[in-house]
Parts: sequence; structure tokens; C-alpha cells
Amino acid sequence: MGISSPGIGSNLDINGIVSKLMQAESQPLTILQKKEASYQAQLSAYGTLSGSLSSLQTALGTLNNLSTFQGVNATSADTTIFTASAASGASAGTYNVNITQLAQAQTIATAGQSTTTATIGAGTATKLTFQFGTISGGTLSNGTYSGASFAPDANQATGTVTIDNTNNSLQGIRDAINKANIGVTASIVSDGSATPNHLVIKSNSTGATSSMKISVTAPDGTPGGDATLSSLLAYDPTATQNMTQSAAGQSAALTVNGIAITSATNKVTGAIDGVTLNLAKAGSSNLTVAANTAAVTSAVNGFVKAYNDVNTTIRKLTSYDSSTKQAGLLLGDATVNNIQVQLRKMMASPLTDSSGSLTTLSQVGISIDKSGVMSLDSGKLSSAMSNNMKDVTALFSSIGASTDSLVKYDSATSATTPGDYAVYVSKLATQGNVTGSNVIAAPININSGNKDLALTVNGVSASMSLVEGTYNSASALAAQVQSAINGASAFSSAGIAVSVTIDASGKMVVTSNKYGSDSKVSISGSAVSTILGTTTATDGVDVAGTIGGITATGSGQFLTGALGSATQGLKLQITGGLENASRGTINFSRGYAHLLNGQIDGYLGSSGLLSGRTDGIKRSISDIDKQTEALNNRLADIEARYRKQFTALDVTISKMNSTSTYLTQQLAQISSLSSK
Amino acid sequence: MTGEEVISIYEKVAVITHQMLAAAREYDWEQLAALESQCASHVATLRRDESAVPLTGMVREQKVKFIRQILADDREIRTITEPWMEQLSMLIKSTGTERKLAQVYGANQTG
Repeated sequence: MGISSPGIGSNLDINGIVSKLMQAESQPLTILQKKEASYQAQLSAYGTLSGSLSSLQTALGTLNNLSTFQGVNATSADTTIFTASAASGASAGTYNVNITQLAQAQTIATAGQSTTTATIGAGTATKLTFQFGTISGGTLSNGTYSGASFAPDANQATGTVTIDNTNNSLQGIRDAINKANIGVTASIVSDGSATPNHLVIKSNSTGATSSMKISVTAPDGTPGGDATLSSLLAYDPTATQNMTQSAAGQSAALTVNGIAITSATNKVTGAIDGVTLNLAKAGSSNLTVAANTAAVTSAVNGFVKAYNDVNTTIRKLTSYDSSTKQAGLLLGDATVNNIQVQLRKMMASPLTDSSGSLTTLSQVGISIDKSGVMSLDSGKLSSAMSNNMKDVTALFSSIGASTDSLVKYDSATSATTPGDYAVYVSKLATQGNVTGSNVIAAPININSGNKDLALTVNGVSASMSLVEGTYNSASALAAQVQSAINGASAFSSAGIAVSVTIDASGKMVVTSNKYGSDSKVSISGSAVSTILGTTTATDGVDVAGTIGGITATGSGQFLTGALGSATQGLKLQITGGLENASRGTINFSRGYAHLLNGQIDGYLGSSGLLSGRTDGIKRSISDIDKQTEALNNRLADIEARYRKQFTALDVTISKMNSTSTYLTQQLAQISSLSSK
Repeated sequence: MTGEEVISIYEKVAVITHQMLAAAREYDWEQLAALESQCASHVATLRRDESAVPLTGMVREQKVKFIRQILADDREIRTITEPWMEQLSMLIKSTGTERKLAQVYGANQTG
């Protein structure tokens, strides 16, 4: 009558049994997990696609940037003669540069001294006054001029150095001159003779206008001072020269395509528009100024590569690999197929908004084969660039062309509509300035009592001091005031600078270099009464006008198309010309880079095609997570219930066993009784 | 305790066992266990006292009848629980289910 099932009513492995049971109950969980894994894989596939589209956008950014096409290379045929650099906009061409003389700084030397430390003279306080100017006429023999004249340069400040019993040695004089920071450098040179030590003084500036004149006087400027010092250092090119010239101050002399040019320094700017020449030695060499086509070629190659990478990515994600029997994660995905088709279509459609004569990518050597692979014929691109760089630029980039040379296209945004827009300027931008009341009469003496200035320019404040000394012209003083103000680090670090000029009536004007309503100058300090007198401040104003007949926003010299109009984001720089006048038209056109970029924005943007797909997948995953959680909770409940049932049933069956055993015994007893 | 009392206890046990069979048929294991506890307490009373009560023929026949009924129901109950238990022991022996289990619980998957 017993129960034959093993373990029943005895030591049943309940945990083991329950686990097995649970397996059947948890089948749906496996299905959910598989589903989730597949969604996650799709999500990462979309991530891969988005990444490659972003890379394509980056490559397009370079092509959509005007400066990519405006780079200019300046190449010297012989870099031992000169090197060159060019800013964008430099005029292309070949130039012959013939350098006959390099610029150099005047160098003069004292007679030799036996030591560098022995005192020179009696230590009487003596003033050395350095002036700078041009030596002309007369003759030069063994480093000494005779019959020459000296014309001081108005733009260079006079400097003074005091020598007394604290510094009257060769070393002391050298250090005192260098410490004074007056535009010369002193050094001691030994020539190996019995009296080897020469004090050598070199002008810090190259050029004929920076030759020196050194006067030795009493501290108050009257004749006098230490006689020994005077016999060592006095140097007047027109009279007594106690120092000897070892190098003349001279300007560089060169011709560019036969036109003679002189330059005070060996860095020649302005001889060729936008080009800087760095002269190295006398000689003749050609300079080639040409568009930086290599930068364009590299940008186009970058675009081709990124475009092909997108295609490769799409192919990997949407195809079936028969060798590995692996289906791409997005096989048959309509969204991805659409992207591929749209991109290819866009590349093959001619431009409608281009302002140039080129309208298709194939015209610059870009083609797409049957399998969708893009390639570049760089020869074709090269010849397109040499034919007309502007058209190549317009094919790729957003570009604006103005009919007025003082109306410059600056930039546009994705909101700007291509087209022709009339420009009207009602008000030009101006700069803030401060004008003085003093008519400046040279010479002007700047000393410790009137050397300090404090300015607030465009809202930034700084203090500075003028170099003490006698300024022999208003323009020399203005030059010093300007360099002192612009040298203040609070200004230079904020990109703030001023121009200091003397107006027609001889008054000083301090002008902020910035245009617009933020351009403001105020000035105070002990120097003001000397250099300006009573000051009048005028703030700058912003440019005002219309683009395409709609009032534009003015900021500084920049006029920007109004929000919500076709000209939205179209930014023009008005650098001058007439006010209250029509200023021609601006033509704005768009190239492939912009169009494609906008297309990709439509895929990647927050409300884009891909975002829509991935958001859907993310929602599905979150649903699955919820279902999984619910199922797990249910499974846990089921498990607990089974455990309880098992335990109870196990106990019940074992008790039933004991009951049936007892009853069976009772039956046996009765039958044994009745058989008796 | 009298013979009648003994018989009435047997009758109760028979009734309860029949209810147990109904519970087993419903797979209501909680009810089965609850009824069995009642049953066991009656049987405990019988174990303790019935040996001291002499039973006459009539009464003895009734007792035999009830015991047979009870054991029959007992067997019925086991015909319900046994297949279920056997299924479980099959599950325990099945390696295939172990593999499925490993998939579900993310254990090391071996083939």
C-alpha cells in the first residue's frame, strides 16, 4: 500500500524541484531578454550610423568654410634670400624681388678700456641724452662722419641716462643704459688688445631713421658733466664723435617687379598687398603668390572619404553576409535605405542656388559609381581651381558677393535664403574717442609730475605711465601715448587698442579701435592737462540700414539681416562709404556642403529621422524592462507559492503514510481476529 | 469511550478523507493539508484509546467498512499526487532542462 515514488514524504529536494518548475514558468523571460538584446543591437547600429554621418558633417564643415578656399601661399624661389607669408586675399601672381641692401641698426663703439670695472672720471653727476634720427650728407671714413647733418625722427622719444659716482665704470654705464630702456642696447666687447674693452651701443631699431646722437651734459641739460665721460661717450654725427660707427643705420632697399621700395626693417609689409617679406640677404629671387589649392584638395578628399565611410557603414548594417551567414543589424530598415538614397540623389542633383558657373560635382572631378562609391579626379579639381577658384568656392561653400567694395560679406547662417538683396546704409558705424582742447606745442617735456594716465576703453580700465623725456613734436608724443596705452596688459589681453592722432588743429585725439555703441573712451591722470587739456568724449554708434528692404540689426560695423526675414543671419561689414544711400546689392548663394549639411541635420537633429527611430527603440526597451520586472515579480511569487505547497504537501503525505499504516494494521488485526 | 464513539470517529475520518480526495482533485494542496491535520488528530485519539474498547461484530464490520473506504480514498489521493511527483523527478533527471535553466539564469552556457 506504500507509496513508491522516491523521496515522497521524506527528504525531498524541494529547492531542486522548484528550480526545475520555475524553468517552465520563466520561458517568457528568455523571450523578453532576446528581444531586448536585439533592440540594443539595433540601437548601437543606429549609433554607428549617426557617428559616420557626424564625421561627414565635420568634413562638410571645412568645405562650407570660406576660409578653406581663401588661403594663399606665398612661396619664395630662394629662401636664403627671403621668405614670405601671405594673408587670405593677397593678390595672386609672380613677383620678382631684388634686394640690394638689408636693413640694419646703427652700432657705435667707445675707445678700448683696460678694465670693465675701473672708475671712469670723477663721478660727477652727468646726463647722457640719446636722440634718434637720420644722418645724411658728408662723408664716412673709418667709422667717422664729416660734413654730415642729423635730422631727429619725430616718432622716436629722446631718452636720458644719469651716470654718477655709483655707476661710473664701463660695466656700470652699460647696465645704466640698458636699465633705462630707451631704445638702445649696450654691451661690452673685448678685442684682445692691450686695452681690449669697448662699450658697444646698438640702436634697437633698424633703418636710417634710427641712428643715434649722444649728448653729455650736466644733469639739468646745461653744458657740463664729467669731462672724462664726455670724451668717452659724446657722439654727434655732425660734430664731435668720440665713438666710432661699426655699422651704419640703414633701411632695406629692394625692388618688386622693378618698383623701388625702402623699409626701415627687414620685415617688409605692404610692398605686395597682403604679403609679408622677411629679407635674409641681398640678391634676387621670384615670389609666387597663389591660392592654397592643397588645402581645398585635402578638404575635398576628406569629404569623399567621409561620404564613402557613410556608405560602407550603411552597407555593413543592411546587408546579408553569405559567408558568415550574418545579417546586418538593420537589414531591410527603411529609414537607413532612405538616407542612402537621399544622399546619393543630392550628390547627383545640380545646384540651383549657385552664384558661380559650376553646378555639378562632376564638373570638379567628383563622381559616384554604380555601387555608390565616390571618387575624386584630382586633376580635374586642380584645373577647375586654376580656371576659377571663385566658382569652385561657390560650388561647395556658402558665399556672398557684394557690388560695393566697402560692403563686405562676412557670414550667413542656415536660416539665410539665397538671393540678391539691396543694401541701404542710413548710418555708418563710428568709434568712440576723446579729443583734447590743447593745441600741442613742441617740445613737450614729460617727467615724473605729468607722466601718468588712467583710461577706460570699451568698459575696461587700465593705468600706465609715459616715458619721461623731451618730445620734439606732437606726433612723437602721440606715438608714445599710443604705445603706452596699448602696452597695458589689461587692454592687450582683452583685445582692446587705441589710435592716438593729432587732428588738423593740432589737438590730440585718442580713439578706440572698436566700432559701435560699445566703443567708449574716458581718460584721466597727471598727463592729461599736458597732452590733452580739457577733454571731450564722444561714444561710438552702430551701423544702421536695411538688407533686402528690411531693417537690419547693427552691431559695430556689422549689419545682420532681421530674424524671420529671408536675410536672417546674413552678416555684412560696412567699412565706409556713403550714409543715407543705396549701397548696391549682395548676392548670397549656397553650395553642396551647406545643402548636405542641412540634410544630415535632418537625420541627426533632435527631431530628426534617426532620432525618431532610436527614440522608438528606446521606448520599446523601456517597455520590455517593465515587462521583465513584472514577470520577475510574478516568478518570485510563483516560486514562493510552490515552495510553500511542496513543504506542506511533503508533510501531509508523510502524515497520511502514518495514518494509512495504522489503518492497515487495524484491518490486519480484525482479519486475524475473525480468522481465529 | 464506547464502541459507538470509536465508530463515529472512524466515520469522521472517512468523511474527512473523502473531502481530502475532493481537495486533491482540485489540486488544492493547502486544503488537503488542513483536512489531513483534522484527520490526524482523530487518528491520534483512536491510537490512544481504541485498543481499550472491545468492538462487537456489527460495530467491527462498520469499522472495516470505514477503513476500506478511507484506504480507497487514500489510494485515490495518491493516484493524483504520484504522477505529479513523478513528473518532478523526471524534471530533476533531465539535463536538457538544466541547460534551459542556465540560459534563463545566465549561468555558464555549455552545449
